[in-house]
Amino acid sequence: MNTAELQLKSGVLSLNPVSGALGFQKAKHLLNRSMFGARLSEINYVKEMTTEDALEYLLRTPTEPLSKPLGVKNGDEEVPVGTSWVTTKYNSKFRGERIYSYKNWWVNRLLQQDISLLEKMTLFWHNHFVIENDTVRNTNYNYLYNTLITTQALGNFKTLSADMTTNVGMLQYLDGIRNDEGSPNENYARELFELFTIGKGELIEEGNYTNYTEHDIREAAKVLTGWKTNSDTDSAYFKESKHDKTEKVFSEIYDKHVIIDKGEDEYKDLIEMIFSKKETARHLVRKLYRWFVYFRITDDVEQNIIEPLATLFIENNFEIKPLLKALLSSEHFFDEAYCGAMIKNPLEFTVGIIRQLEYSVPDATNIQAQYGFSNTVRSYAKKQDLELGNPPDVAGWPAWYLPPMYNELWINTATIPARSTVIQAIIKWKLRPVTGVDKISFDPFTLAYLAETPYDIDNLLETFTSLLFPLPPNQEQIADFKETLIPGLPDFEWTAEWNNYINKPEDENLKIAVGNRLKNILVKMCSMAEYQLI
Amino acid sequence: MDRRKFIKNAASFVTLPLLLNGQAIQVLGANSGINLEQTKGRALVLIQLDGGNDGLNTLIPLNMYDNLVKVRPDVVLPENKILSLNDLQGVHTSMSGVKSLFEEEKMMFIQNVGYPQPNLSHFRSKEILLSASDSKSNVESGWFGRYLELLHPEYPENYPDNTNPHPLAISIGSSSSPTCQGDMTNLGIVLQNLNTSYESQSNNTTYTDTPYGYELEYVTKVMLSTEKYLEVVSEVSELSESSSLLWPEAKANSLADKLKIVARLIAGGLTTPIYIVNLGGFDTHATQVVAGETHTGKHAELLQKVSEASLAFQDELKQHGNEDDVLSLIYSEFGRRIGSNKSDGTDHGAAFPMMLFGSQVNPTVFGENPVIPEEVEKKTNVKMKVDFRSVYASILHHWFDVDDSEIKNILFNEFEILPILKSSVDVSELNNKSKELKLLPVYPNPIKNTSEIQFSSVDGWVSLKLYTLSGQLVKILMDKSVTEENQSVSFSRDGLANGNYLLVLQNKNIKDSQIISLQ
Repeated sequence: MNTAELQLKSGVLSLNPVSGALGFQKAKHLLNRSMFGARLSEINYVKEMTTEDALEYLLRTPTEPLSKPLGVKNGDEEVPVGTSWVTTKYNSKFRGERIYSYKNWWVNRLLQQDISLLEKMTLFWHNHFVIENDTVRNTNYNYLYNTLITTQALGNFKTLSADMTTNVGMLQYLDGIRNDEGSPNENYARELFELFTIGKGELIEEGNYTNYTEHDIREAAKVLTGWKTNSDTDSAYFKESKHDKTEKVFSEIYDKHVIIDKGEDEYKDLIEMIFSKKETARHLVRKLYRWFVYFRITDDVEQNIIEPLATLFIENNFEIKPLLKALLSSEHFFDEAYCGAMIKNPLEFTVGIIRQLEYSVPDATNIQAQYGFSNTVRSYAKKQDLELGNPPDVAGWPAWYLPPMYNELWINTATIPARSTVIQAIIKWKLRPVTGVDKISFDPFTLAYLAETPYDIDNLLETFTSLLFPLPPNQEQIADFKETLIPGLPDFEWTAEWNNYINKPEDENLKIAVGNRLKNILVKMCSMAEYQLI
Repeated sequence: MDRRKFIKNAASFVTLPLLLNGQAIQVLGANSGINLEQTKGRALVLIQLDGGNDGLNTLIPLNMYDNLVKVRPDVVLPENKILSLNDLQGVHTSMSGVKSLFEEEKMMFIQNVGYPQPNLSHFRSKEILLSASDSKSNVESGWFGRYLELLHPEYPENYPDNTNPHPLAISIGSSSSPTCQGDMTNLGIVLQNLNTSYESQSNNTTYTDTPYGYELEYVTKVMLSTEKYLEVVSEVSELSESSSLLWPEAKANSLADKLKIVARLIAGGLTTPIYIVNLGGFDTHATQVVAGETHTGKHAELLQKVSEASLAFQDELKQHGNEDDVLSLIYSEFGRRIGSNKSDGTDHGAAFPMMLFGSQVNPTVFGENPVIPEEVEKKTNVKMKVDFRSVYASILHHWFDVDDSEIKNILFNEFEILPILKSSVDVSELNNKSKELKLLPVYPNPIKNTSEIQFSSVDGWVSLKLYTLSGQLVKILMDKSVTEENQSVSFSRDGLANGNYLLVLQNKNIKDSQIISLQ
């Protein structure tokens, strides 16, 4: 623990829920942390709710089944464009087409998301239970992995950990399928302890990492022997003959717990054993805290926030919803000190700017255009160091685990220009989602009309800044915005220009002139450091 | 003192009681005992092989070969697919470039590098390697970051400026390197390519005393310094062009692409002391090799990339006259298990060979061969003989001329200084070499048919030989006693295939060499 925070105001250290209606500011904070860019209409929809109602709403189980990725490329001879490939046997010949579909289907889900915590938590689990689609070649396995983290996103941590252990994608990714009696492969067993559940503690003696030992890893690997995948049925199965049937005796950390042969149910005993330790709950609560609140965990936060939440998590048998509800409705979460304290990750930034500026994204009537646009978004995020579906390694992205900088790592001399390109591309360029369809360009009036009185420069600017910035700008910044919108002119000239355009809607040149001013001011705002923060 | 700085010092007081107390950091900063003038222009290039490189299939202990066959039957190389360096060691067949560097006396191997109480987690072991902590301590700053902080205690306040116009560290890619992590901020910049420009839009920002204000200040400052640093980088990169013929095609070898950027920046005159590049994919639990063809497969392809990129990089430096100013270090977070597993791969291990290359390195295989027993348990690992921090200490000592007391502060302890440079072995030999026995740049190069090869010679027996890059002698151009003067030999390719060759001029132990290309 370092003392940097002692110089900062730590805010209220209470898990008591905030009472009354949320209001605009708190609703914005909640949605920006729960989603990928909160739109004005969404903030307005939630702001009248109490925290309890808002959380109920954000945590609701989707009523419609999850969409399926669709074939969008003619090159795939087995899957017609517009139909899904997920029940067609994997064929490496068409991997390129299907992985394109898989990745962009996922990105599109973020672009089209409802007011819900679902996608943010799916990304959380993707970063937690990592598989890389560069490594797991089978596209069906990637899809089945995705289905698991999505359907369990707001489910139960223990159940998810167990299901993940025998997931086809994970069995491939961490060599579970190569883990046999007599020639164990420790890859999954190690990460199960180190990253996925209890977490790595300090090395207190050779081979002892406080929460588990090298011996525990070897015993756990034996428990997990015998699991295979079948690419004909896209399923995992248990092969008795490859399973180590000896007794597995764990270290004193687990009170010398013995796991006896239970065949294909044996791995569940291992999960139970690890989840009997409170540290497992703490480890996940800390990770969620860094995901939703702030990366610095002070001693105060550890005692007053993490510890009681870990207790609550265990009391609720590792159900995610009560945990998130407690954290995200707390006075601590809504304390103004933490509003804007999080640096947007590349998807929050890229998907966020598209959503918040009311950019018109291709809809499902042209599936190829829709996936093509998603592909553009995906590559923009990749340039900022987050490639959805393909984390850098099994630990996930360093910005979510590497001290001391954590999410400050998203911002560096390479990613700042990459973010700048996104701003230019979305606001100023014309983008062609895919060959053969029309280019899309940004219409700034859609956003401007969301202001109550867009002809009034103060109301217009306030509408923009309240949407885009965590806190209101200062007087110098407002003056600077006016200088960009109407350089060297008094405020009422904006009203004159706007009304001029309203009164002559047929005059394209006038529309372009006013539109360009709006685009300039939005480029300016989105390029500021404040827009990097939520 | 500004707020961030105050916080930073307060933080270091708590996190690093071993090293820096609040006062010491200022004393060190004011007069750090580091000779800046002498080391100016010297650069260190760190080449990270991510995932844990299999050292036993990289630098092969030939006297242990029979036991290697017994304990790692699934991955051991066929004996005729090892390029021998001498009687005791050989390298993987795909590393002909590395072998050439060794023969050109530009490559040093340091065997059995590791640390006590090895940690088999990738993440923890990488943290240990990059922070230079011991196995038990948790240190969040990087070893080179601590060195840079001694020289630049105010960073990033007012950087870059006229005194420090260039980045303090550059990693090529899209993420900052933990090696250059300071107590609170990273002292390096990140480059994806050379021609990015950026104009910062932030101004008039006020910072509140909250986590929000703190992060806002961070983002704002990175934006401001990005604008300035990218301008410098772009200017410098325009001052030079790549000229080596040994570079592979763009995008064929990502490590080569990155080193190419580094070489251009160095040639353009950037004074940045450290560059960091990486190549991933070394976590070869399964299918490290192709069964039955163990000299091929994933690991062979990776080593080929490392070898090819290193050779081209060194050649590029030579073409621009920067060879003497650059030292490169190839390393990984750990080696791999001695025994192979049943998936044609190897599991996480411990000690491994480091490779140090450059015109100034002591061209030897340092340290004894690892001992490979006839039988191993599953968990048997290569034993550590040289602490990795000893290599860092030697670099700081010999290359950056850092006082030993400061090295102790940076690395938390004293470590043995190794003879990593020729100059640390015998200065006179180096001088002899550069003054008296020297190949002049071959012109034209590439050669179509004939060329005159000129060199300055010492008195005595001198040979001039042509080798393939895998070390096979193909032509003796001269082998006789000469007197000390400028010499010239005519060369005719007659019958030699197109490609790159190594020309070696030798008098007893003194050598000079150059790569020539036939087209």
